[in-house]
Amino acid sequence: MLEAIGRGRLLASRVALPSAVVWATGGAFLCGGASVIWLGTSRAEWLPLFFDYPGTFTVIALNLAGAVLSLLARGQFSRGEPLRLVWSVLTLAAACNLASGILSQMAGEGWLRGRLILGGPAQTVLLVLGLTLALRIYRRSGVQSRPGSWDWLLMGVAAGFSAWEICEPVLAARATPVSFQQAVNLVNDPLLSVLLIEAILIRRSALKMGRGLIARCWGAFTAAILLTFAGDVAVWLSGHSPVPVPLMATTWYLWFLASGAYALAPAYQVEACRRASGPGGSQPAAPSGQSAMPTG
Amino acid sequence: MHPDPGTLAAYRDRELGEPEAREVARHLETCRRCAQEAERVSAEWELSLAADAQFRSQCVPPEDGLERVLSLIQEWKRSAAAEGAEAQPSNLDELRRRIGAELELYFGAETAALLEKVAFSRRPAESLIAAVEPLLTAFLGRKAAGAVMRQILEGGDQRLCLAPETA
Repeated sequence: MLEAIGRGRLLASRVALPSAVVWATGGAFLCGGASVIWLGTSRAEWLPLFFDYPGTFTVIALNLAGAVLSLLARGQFSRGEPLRLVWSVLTLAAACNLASGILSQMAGEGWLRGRLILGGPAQTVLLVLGLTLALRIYRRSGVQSRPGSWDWLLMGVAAGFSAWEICEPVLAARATPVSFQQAVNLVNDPLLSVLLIEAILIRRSALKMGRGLIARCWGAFTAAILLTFAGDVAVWLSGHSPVPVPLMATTWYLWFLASGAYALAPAYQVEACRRASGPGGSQPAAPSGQSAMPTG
Repeated sequence: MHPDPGTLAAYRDRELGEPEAREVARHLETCRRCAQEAERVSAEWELSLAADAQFRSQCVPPEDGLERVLSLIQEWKRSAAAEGAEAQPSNLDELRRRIGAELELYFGAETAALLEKVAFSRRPAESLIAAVEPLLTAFLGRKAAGAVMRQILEGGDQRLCLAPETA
C-alpha cells in the first residue's frame, strides 16, 4: 500500500522541471547526432562546425538553465539553513561554468585563460566545497553510506589518472616548458578526482535513501561529475592516441550530457520544494473523475 | 528463534514484558549475530537522535510552523484518546502511511522502509514525527518541510484514497 502511494505520486511528478531538462538535453543530443550523421557522410570538417556553433549554443543554454535553477534551489531555503549555503556555492559553480561557456566564444589569449580558469579549477573547487557540505548534511542525517568495491575501483582509477596527468607534464617540463593549459590541468585534475570521490560517496548515500526527488537530485550531480571526468579522460586520450578526429568527436557529446545533468540536479531540488510547498502541495495526481482534495 | 529488529528495538527501549525481555537477553548472550544486530539498531537510533538534536539546535523556529505542528499533535492525541484505546493503532498506522508516502516521494522507498523500523519499536507519534521532521527540514528547507508536516498531520482520508491501489 505504502509503496503504491509513493509510485503513484512519483508518476505524477514526472511532468515537471526535471522532465523539461531531460527532454531538452535528449532533444539536443538526438538533433546533434542526426546532424553529424547527415553532415559527416560527405565531409568530416562539418563535424567541428556543428560543435562550434549549435553544439556550443546548446551547452551554454543548458549551463544557463543550470545556473538559474541552482539560484531557484537556493531560494527554497531560508537564511541559516545548511542547504542554502550548499546551493549558494553550487550556484557560484554553475555561474563559473556558464561564464566559461560564454568566454569560449571570445577570441584572444586573455579570454582563453579566463575560460580555462573559470571552467576548470574555479568551478571544480566550488563543486568540491558544495559537495563536501552536502556530504556533511547526509552524515548528520544518518544516511551516509560506505563505498562498495566497484566504487573503490573507480576511485582508484581516478586517483591513478590524476597522478599520471600530474607526472606527465612535470617529467616533460625538463625538455619543454609547461603551457598555461597544462598548468591549469595540473591544478584541476586532482581536484576533479576529489570531486569524483565525493560524487561516489553522495551517490552511495542517495542510493541508500532510495530514488525519490531529493535522491535523484544528488544522483544527477554524480552523473554530471562522472561525465565530466569521462570527458576529461577523452580529451587526454585525443592527445595520446592515433584515433581519428571524427571518431574522437563522438566523445564531445559527453559535454552535452554533463551540462544536462548539471541542470537536472537543481531541477529535482526545485521540483521537490515546489511540490511540497506549492499550491496543492505534494498531493498525488487525482484519477479521472476525482478531484484532488486541497490539503494544508 | 532470532528476535526481529522490532523486538530488539523494543528490548532496547525496555518496552518488552519481563519474560520476553529475559528471553531476548539470554539469546543475545549466546548469539553473536543478534548481539551485533542489537548494537546496530541501538547505534542507528542514537545516530538519529543525535542528528535530530543537532538539527534542532541549528534551526531557528519557523515563524508559524512549529506551534501549529505541536498543536496538531496535541489535537490528534486528544481525538485518539476520545475515540478510545482501540483507535490509537489505526491512527498510528494512518500517520505511518502518510509519513511513508511523503518520504518515498522525496527520498525513496528505502527511506520509507526505515520508518517501518522506527514504527516497529512502537514509539509514540511524537517520536515518529521527531525522526522525520529534521530529515525533511534538512533536504527540503524549513518552509517546504513545514508544509509537508502540515499535510501529514492534516491530510484527510480522501487524500489517501487517491492512491492507485484504492482508486
